[in-house]
Amino acid sequence: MTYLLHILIYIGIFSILSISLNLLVGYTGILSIAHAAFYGVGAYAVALMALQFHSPFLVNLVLAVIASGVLGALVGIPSLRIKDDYFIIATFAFQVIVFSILNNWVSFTGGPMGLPGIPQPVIFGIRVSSHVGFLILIVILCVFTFWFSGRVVKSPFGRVLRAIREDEVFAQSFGKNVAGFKVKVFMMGAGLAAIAGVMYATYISFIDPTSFTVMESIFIISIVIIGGAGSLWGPVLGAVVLVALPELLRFIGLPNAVAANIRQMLYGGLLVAFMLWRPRGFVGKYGFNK
Amino acid sequence: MWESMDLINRHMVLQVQNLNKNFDGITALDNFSCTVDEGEILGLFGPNGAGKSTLFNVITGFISCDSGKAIFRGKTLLKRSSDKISLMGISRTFQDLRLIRQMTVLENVMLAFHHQPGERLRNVFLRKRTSDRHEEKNREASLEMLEYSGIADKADQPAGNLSYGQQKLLSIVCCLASGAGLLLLDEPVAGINPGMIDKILSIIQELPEKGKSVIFIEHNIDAIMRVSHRAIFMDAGRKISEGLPETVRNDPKVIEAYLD
Repeated sequence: MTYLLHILIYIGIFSILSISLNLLVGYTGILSIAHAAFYGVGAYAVALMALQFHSPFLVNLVLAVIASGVLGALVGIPSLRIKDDYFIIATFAFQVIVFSILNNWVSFTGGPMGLPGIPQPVIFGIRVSSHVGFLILIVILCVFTFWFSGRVVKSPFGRVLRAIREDEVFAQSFGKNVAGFKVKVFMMGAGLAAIAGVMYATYISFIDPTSFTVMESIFIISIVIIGGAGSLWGPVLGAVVLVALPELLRFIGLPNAVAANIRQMLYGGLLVAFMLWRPRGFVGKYGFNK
Repeated sequence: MWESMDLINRHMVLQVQNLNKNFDGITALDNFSCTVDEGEILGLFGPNGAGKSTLFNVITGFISCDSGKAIFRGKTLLKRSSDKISLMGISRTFQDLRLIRQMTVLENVMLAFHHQPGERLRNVFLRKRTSDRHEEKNREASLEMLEYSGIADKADQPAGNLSYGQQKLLSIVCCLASGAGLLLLDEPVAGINPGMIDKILSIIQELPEKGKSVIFIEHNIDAIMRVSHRAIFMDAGRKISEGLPETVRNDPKVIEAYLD
């Protein structure tokens, strides 16, 4: 039972990550491979706040989101001016920088040893300590993220995002400030990713830089693409499939050492297969093959 | 005499002065000047590569020019970004016909409106009702425009499903929706069937009544003759001839250039 709850909690965390990345990749057509960096910023922000200042969980959550959002804007403003492929490289660079800081600024982030003993969330006097408690909290935050991104993409703001995805010049010729919209959506994506980081850090109670590498970013992108970019449910579906699928491998009876490697091959294989035969993912509206 | 000059100036919507543009040694605009009056339809024609589309791109801020001036309703245009220029009230179509083909016809029109409250994040979350109300108003206005142009029955279809002619029509409807006072139409009737040509030309003809001014580029001289109040013939980035459409067509310099 605990095992099942653990899987569900992971699905929740990765749903938040993929829903937020989908705002960028699926709706606006900007591919970022820095999502795990913002996920990490959220996790480290909440861990440092809780460990250093013992500030309450909700305050930490909000501050982590703001910090990540502001960082998103700082990264987005210069890098979103550059065109597609170069933008991807810029986000990759940012991802590497964040990882290096987490890994090397030992006095601040604990370096490779990470930050242990992150306290459990206490909300209005209630300590969230059980798996069920965490699952409830994560479902609430998942629903919030889903609602938030739904509200955005169904609004006239979201219509401009889709227009930018298809034809920036057209959007611009009707007075839309394309760079401004991109920075705003990048900021939102970064802020929402921090929510997942906060939940991961407080759930596991220990974080180290290896959870926030470029491999993790690519995993989140795979979830979005396989689930279906540019649809609201796609990322959730993708998270269910990609988080649960490798767990099934355990039941085939593969030894753990082999299973871990097969996982990576499975993700890679799935991604290639989807790109070839179903670029829209399971339920997506937006093909990644153009 | 000065008084009448003043009067003319006051009615001038766009004034382009001595524009120059070079693309790696190829002259696209060579000291080009022209004006457009309030409620005027100006037809612009000339051979391929004459610099007609370049002129549109410079006016709308999509490319920068090397030197010259462009003034729209008393404000200078050059050095502004294309989205700002659009917001000032100049709307354009593209020669390679741009539309969001994956979005519905109605969504394309609704995208074109300027200053939508729902395009601000703050309103999306905090003032949803205001934004919804505006959206509803724009939807009705859009449907009315689609009705007027005869493609209302296609409102909920993806724009890509429309015929080529209907797509050109839709791109003009989008310009109307933006509320612009000056429309720059790049080959609005090229490559479409005669029935649709009549439809689009009659819509262009009615634009001055709606308080719009128009510059339109066409290869089709008949189209220029039918709707424009004034015509300019361009070649190699220069203005070769200007005046009443009839006069320009019969200008020996124009005939010579077209025969070459």
